[in-house]
Amino acid sequence: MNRDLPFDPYFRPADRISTIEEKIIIAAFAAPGLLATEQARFVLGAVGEPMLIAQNQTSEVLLVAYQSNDFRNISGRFAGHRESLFPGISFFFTPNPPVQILLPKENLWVVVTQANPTFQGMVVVEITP
Amino acid sequence: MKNDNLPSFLKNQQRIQPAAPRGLPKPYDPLYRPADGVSIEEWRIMICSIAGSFRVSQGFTKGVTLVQNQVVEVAQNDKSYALFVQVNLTADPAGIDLIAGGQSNLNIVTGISFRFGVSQVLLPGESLYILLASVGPKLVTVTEVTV
Repeated sequence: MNRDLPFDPYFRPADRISTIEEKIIIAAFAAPGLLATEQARFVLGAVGEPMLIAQNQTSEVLLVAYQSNDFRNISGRFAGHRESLFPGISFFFTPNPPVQILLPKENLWVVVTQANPTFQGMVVVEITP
Repeated sequence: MKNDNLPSFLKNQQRIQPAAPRGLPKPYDPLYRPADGVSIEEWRIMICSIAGSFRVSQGFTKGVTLVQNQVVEVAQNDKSYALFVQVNLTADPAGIDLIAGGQSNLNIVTGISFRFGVSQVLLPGESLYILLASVGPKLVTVTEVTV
């Protein structure tokens, strides 16, 4: 592999960790302790429809956690960064809310595939570490 | 150096030559580690392994069908310094038996066994193979992301 190829979208300088890499690792470590203190907002949605959970428009690194209003009754869901991406990542029966890190201009979409009939949307928590 | 006055077991030790400085790691030495600190590659392995699961929604996802008792290459890192790979079940919350490894031959059966998917960090040039031990075929999603 030649990391110096101009078409390599994954190229990183080889001799040091970039600032964004440092912020990502800090956010990953800090996520459990930070998210619990933030105020949640609610995103309306329905089973089978892509829901835009979060857009990072203002922060260098944004932590996003999301959970159903039913909490226990989602049996499958997919998440991705584009509405047309699905099927993306699947989460099953996670006891804790899934957490994702968004860099600037990145989006988080979620499709719930199965849920209780009372499902109305997602509870979303965001924070900048 | 004369060592006639030394006990016999120490005489033998005196014959041991100092180790030559280690050169660059050879491709076939998976256990080589630099002795002078943490390398940038090792830092990135740590970042990728810890933050990878927080970034999977921004990655690339493909579907892969696993067939019982067949070794399938589900991911190959031909593009990144460290690639986080997450394999998820698509429709079987009861779990399936997966055996994962880095070799395409039968040595994979000495790899690691999983039941609810697997997450791994691949270094440049490495591949991840999975053998489905449960009754198949089973569709899994394979997500790759570079942190």
